Amino acid sequence: MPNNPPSILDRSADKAAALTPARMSRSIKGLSDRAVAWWFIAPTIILLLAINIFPLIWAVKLSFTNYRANRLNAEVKDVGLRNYERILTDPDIWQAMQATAHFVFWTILLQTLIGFALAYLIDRKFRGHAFWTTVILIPMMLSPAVVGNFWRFLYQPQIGLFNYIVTFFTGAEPSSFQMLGSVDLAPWAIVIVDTWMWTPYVMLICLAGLRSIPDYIYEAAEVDRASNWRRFWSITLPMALPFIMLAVLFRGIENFKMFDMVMLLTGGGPGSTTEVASITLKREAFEKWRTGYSSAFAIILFVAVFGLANIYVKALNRVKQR
Amino acid sequence: MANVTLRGVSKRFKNLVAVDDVSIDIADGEFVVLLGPTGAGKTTTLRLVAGLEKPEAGSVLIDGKDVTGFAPSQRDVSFVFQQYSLYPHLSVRDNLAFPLKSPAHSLNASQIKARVEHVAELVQIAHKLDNRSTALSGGEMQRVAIGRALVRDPAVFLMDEPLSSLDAKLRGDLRVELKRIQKELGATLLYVTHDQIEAMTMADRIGILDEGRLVQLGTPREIYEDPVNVHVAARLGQPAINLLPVSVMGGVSAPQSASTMGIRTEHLDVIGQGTRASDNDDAAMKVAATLERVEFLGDQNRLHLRMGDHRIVTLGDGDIEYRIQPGSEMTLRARNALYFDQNGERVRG
Ligand SMILES: Nc1ncnc2c1ncn2[C@@H]1O[C@H](COP(=O)(O)OP(=O)(O)O)[C@@H](O)[C@H]1O
Ligand SMILES: [Mg+2]
Repeated sequence: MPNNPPSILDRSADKAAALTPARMSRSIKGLSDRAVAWWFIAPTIILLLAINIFPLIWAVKLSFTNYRANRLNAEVKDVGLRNYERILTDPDIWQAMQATAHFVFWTILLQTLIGFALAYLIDRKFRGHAFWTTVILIPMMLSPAVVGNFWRFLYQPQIGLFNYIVTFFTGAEPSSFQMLGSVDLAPWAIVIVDTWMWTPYVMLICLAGLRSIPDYIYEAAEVDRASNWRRFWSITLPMALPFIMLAVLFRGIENFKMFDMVMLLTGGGPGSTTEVASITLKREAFEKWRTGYSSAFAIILFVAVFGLANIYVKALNRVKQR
Repeated sequence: MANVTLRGVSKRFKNLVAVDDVSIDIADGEFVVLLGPTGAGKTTTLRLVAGLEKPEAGSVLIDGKDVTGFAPSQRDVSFVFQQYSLYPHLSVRDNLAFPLKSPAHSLNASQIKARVEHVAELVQIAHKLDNRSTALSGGEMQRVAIGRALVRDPAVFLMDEPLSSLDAKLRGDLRVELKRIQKELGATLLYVTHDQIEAMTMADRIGILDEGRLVQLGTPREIYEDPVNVHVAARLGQPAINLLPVSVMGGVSAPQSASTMGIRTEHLDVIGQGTRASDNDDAAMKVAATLERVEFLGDQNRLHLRMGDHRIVTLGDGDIEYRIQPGSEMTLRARNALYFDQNGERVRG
């Protein structure tokens, strides 16, 4: 730049802009630009290392030992891969994984179907659609703890509204079934609550997807004599698909580590029918105090979620590429 | 193919009258171009024919049938949108095949494939058939959009400035190509543009739109030689027609009510260079002017002249710049002047 002949672009503002970084870097006690940049991001990096990366590495290390956090003086032995072996053959763990799979699969399926349907209806822009959007979003804004407690009352066999609604439609006696107390119904009870709470979120993302489809695409399709049915299948759905997939990803990760709401609703019961992975993990780590064992379980969960999410993001990118 | 009729069609958006009582009769196989500046109501007129807008008044007839209340899909038209509205998630091939997959057509897969490939050749996009439609340049997208219209055999083609986003060379090629295809198919085509060259070269008839009104409808020659008002006269011609107060030209025999005269550049001859008009020149419409600037365009030179307070433009031969300099005086003679009254309406004398 210094050797270039002066051009029209060399106005005073440009000159000032070109000069400033050099002067500044000299004035901050001889620090180079790079050093200054490092100083700016250092707090974030240190924080990340301290509360994310270090515990992760530490957990990996503990997962190869028989360490117990409640016995600080006990000898810590290296047990190699024994924790991992035991987890992968532990029927309780597999039971928890099954409960988690049931919960994740059905919540995602229901939330995606209902959320997309609601978004599709609201995108029709009927009268009062803004009001109804707000109403639909309310459950999502509550805290999971509130929702958990709230639904425990709704599910009460004697006084709960839920049983009365079911009675209204089916004629069954309200106290003849217990949503939270029955081994058959409890897994569905938690699915219903999560769906009630998070469908609005899926709807919101789907709505963004639907709104991103420009009107003229539909006009072109209309002139091209595509039926409503075909317009939906060959335009609406494929063009909203990346958004739907994103919603599924967010909900999937979120529900894989579900803890608070289920803990408050059923505490994992009855028996261990609703004991999803995070609850099992919490039991192993902070009730049975098998720190090494539960670290290994946490690592397995982490690798599983991370791997699945990665595969999924690749698929998502392929869909977006089209 | 079919004929199309607009009968007193009007469309307003709130207080703005976008299309104002437009009536056109488009014959079967005719190429009609609507020409007008931005905001003249060209797009709205096309959308009314397609059924994408509903008129407040008037009716639209396709093939003699009143289709005013019909949905776009019931009208059998194909539309090239101003913003190439391709289906972004589909390949070029699937975009072209889309209109053929309607139940209105009963084509099998190999017939569709053949048709698509034929059209791809026509619009010179065959080499990109399997590209994603978003991985194309603007010109390629527009060619796909044109192809998507041509792939069908509709009652009428509607095209909204389909060439305006292309570069000059491609625009020229496609202009010729489109005209050829239209002739070959015997297609009824309503075409919208703000480009006078496109209008002049392709149209069987041109309709001049201004502020929603159809000001004049006629063959390119009629519109050019016999404009109904100043607006139409100024719209066609490159460089634009010279408009001067009648009083500027000495000794003209202008009609009584004329206040403005229009002289096209090719009707303004340079008869004396380096000379002032003198009394013994006998021709009536003569005028002295000073050369300000010469624009060299290769095949022609545009002479920008000053005549008192008025600027005028005329054409000179290819080498005139060697003979005269800016600042030189010259004498001009005008032929075939058009006269307009105070309101800009044509006065025929
Ligand atoms: N959907 C609409 N809502 C409101 N005004 C519109 C709409 N479409 C067009 N207009 C207005 O109608 C007039 C004609 O528009 P248009 O037909 O698009 O003109 P052109 O295609 O000749 O540029 C313009 O003033 C434009 O702003
Ligand atoms: Mg337009």
